[in-house]
Amino acid sequence: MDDDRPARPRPTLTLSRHAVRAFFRNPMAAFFTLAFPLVFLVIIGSLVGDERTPEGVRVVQFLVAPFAVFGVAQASFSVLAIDTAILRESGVLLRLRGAPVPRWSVLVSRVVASVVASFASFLLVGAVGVLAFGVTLQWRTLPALVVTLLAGTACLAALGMALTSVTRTVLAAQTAAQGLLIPLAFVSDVFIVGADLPGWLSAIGTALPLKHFADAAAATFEPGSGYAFSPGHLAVLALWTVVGAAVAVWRFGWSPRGSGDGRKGPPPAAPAPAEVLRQPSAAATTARPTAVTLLLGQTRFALLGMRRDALATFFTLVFPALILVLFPVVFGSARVHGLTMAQYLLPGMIAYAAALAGYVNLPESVAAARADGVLKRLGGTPLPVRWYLGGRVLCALLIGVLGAVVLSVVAVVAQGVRLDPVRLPAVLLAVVLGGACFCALGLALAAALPRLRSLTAITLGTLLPLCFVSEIFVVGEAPLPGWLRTIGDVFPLRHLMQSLLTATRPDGDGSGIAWSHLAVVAVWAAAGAVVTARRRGAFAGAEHAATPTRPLRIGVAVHR
Amino acid sequence: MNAPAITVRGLVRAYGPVRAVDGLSFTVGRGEIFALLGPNGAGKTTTVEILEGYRDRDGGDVSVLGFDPATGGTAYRERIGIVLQAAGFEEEFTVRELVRLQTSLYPRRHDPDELIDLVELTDKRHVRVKALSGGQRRRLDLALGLAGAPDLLFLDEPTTGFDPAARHRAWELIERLRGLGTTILLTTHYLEEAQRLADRVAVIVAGRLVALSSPEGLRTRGRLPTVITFELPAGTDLAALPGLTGTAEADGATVRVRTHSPLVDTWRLTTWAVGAGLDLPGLAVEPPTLEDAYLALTGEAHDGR
Ligand SMILES: Nc1ncnc2c1ncn2[C@@H]1O[C@H](COP(=O)(O)OP(=O)(O)OP(=O)(O)O)[C@@H](O)[C@H]1O
Ligand SMILES: [Mg+2]
Repeated sequence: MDDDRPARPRPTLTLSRHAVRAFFRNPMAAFFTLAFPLVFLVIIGSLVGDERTPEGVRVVQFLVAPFAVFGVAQASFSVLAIDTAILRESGVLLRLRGAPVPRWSVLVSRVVASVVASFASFLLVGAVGVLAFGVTLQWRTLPALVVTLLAGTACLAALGMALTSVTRTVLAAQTAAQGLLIPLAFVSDVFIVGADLPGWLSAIGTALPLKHFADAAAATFEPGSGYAFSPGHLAVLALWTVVGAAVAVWRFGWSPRGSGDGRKGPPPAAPAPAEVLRQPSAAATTARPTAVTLLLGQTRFALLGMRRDALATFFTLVFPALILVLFPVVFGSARVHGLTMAQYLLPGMIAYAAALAGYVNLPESVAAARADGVLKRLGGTPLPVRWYLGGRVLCALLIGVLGAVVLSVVAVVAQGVRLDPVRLPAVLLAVVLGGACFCALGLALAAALPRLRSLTAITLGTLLPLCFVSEIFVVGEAPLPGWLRTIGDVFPLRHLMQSLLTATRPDGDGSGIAWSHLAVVAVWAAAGAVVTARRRGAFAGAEHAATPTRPLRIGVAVHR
Repeated sequence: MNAPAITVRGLVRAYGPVRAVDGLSFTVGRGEIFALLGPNGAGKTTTVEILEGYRDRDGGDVSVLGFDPATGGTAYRERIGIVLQAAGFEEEFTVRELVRLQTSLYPRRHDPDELIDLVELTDKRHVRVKALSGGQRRRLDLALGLAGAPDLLFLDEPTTGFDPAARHRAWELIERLRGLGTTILLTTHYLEEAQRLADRVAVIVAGRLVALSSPEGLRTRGRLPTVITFELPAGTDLAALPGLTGTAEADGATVRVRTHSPLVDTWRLTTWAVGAGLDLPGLAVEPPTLEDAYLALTGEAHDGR
């Protein structure tokens, strides 16, 4: 049964092709490197693209490069680092090491895939920019653009591999990758272009490679003459490439490191002989746990899980706080809709935290527990699944309230925001009702899509654009185009934001409760609850094959 | 067959203070099926992974197919096949895609479709890995290990998670590989598996070899007692039994006699019963099994055989 074709294996080629396919089959990777930058471009391009710079150039001309750079960074840094960590922790790399394949071909194939994905991302964003927004490309700067892309991709890929090499678990790689990239994007001319950053922030940006990549790429979109090569920026990229490659080569590992291969502890003790196990005492059997103890127990458990999930914490609490601190610094005394930047951002960020906790983190943890068979195991215990879900919901609400507290403290202490104590109950009411609404919607989604192991692509993919149309992420003073505003009016996020704005604005009066907005939120909450209740069978976890031998949860809360 | 496929002399591997492998020596002949047995944490996987070239050793000599696995590189890997104890897959790929990828990495290779048929995943060939059951994944693992038509196959707990029918078929597959001259080193917790497949078994406890022989040799070598069981006839008790060379013990009405002279004791019991006009319901004479021998060796026997 031997194959008689004597073809010598060409492992680098074979593995590269395979890695490229793997990349595009991973819905999360495709979402964050292709769809995400595109959505940014389309939304922001529609909002402000036609405004003009002082030189009279349309703003959209300057939007393509930063968003494309972000897509490239996701592909070559985050996705590469995370996927390689997944392959290592699941044992796929180890198996490959057992095949007659040189080590370097495995590594090269990973990098090739990220280069291909990066170019795809850039092409897509560029094409939409040119075709839909009339961005002009200049043939003259094309060589510089290609060289910049290659240098930037190589640099980020080297750093991505270095990151994989120094982390022990997939979760650590995910947290570190996104936790580094997203804040960095704010100070590297990616999310905020040409901002007047305080010295230390701009120093951080200048020291690290992303800003150099973004600036070198942006230069090739500048109208004007010249070939737009940026030797200085390219030199910095080359330097970081060497650093990244050195760390990657020095620390790279093929065997699973952290993900419970059970090899760290002492050998398992032999099970206790039967005599040691006594009958439970009578007292223990008669006191059946009450609903309250069950719910509190589940909540504590959920909170514990949350505390261990640094990535979710980062996105729910640290990220909005970061924006709240950074934006006013960057935009100085600019006023938004008659308020100071911080005063306007605060309610938005509170709404964002509550929505993320309920609509992104909650369904993600439930979907993962379902796919891993945790819900199924739970189904075999006397605990009704509603207490499990109840605990998760309570946890999400607490996180939402905690987010509100943290953000308010930051705003009041560091930004001079004024909050009227009389209207704090209104804030609390909005946070809890809004949080409950997003929990209900998140659970409804998890119930409607029982086969998906990860919902983050869908939840984040809908929540982030909604943040723009709900004016949570402010983009200039101009009013939203009518159709975008209609979308914002339909969904609950904008109403939650408005309720919170009413409760926090310094010039308001009365209780600060915006009944009409809260009513819309309540209607959505009820709709979500009804869907969840009708499809509660989807949480029994029995309907699809859990895979017990799987050594690791792949795709745990992948917020990319 | 001439030079052994595997020679291990004084192998040592420590993880910090734990000496996972502590002076292990054995050889495996070409074409032989050799099983490593031992309790959890005994050092089986560590040993196998050193032989596979995955882990470094702290001491000892190892030669596999004439290579030192630590330095054998690509030439060595072209000739071995590996089924790891626990390794995942890329979930978004189909069975066939992964098998094809793996076969294309070897200069001498099996045909992907034949391999898939061989492990009986034919009707799953176009299914993505994420939809496979636990046992089906293990079979895919086996197919990937066989991709390069190896001279020497390492199987770390190959049939854990298989249903009984699938296990029997896997055994047939392994026997067929033996027929092709493949040398196989396997670890297992199923004594039946070792008994059925292995030419020789090594029992490892805490990194040391405690026994090495054929399964049959292992079973008989420990001089374990044979057990005669029967139900006490109504109206009699232990004291009524005739004198036996072994020791009798009653558990309710069931009597177990442990004896090194089963022939004599059986004869005494049956003549006594026949003489007294009694029946001995459920009379059975059970020689020690491989499992008994294994449990005695590894000191985990709780039933006091
Ligand atoms: N990478 C590692 N780091 C630290 N200790 C390890 C490591 N790998 C194995 N050990 C320890 O070495 C000992 C032997 O482990 P090994 O995996 O070889 O056992 P095993 O015989 O294969 O067990 P099992 O039957 O459970 O698979 C155990 O005590 C284990 O905890
Ligand atoms: Mg093992």
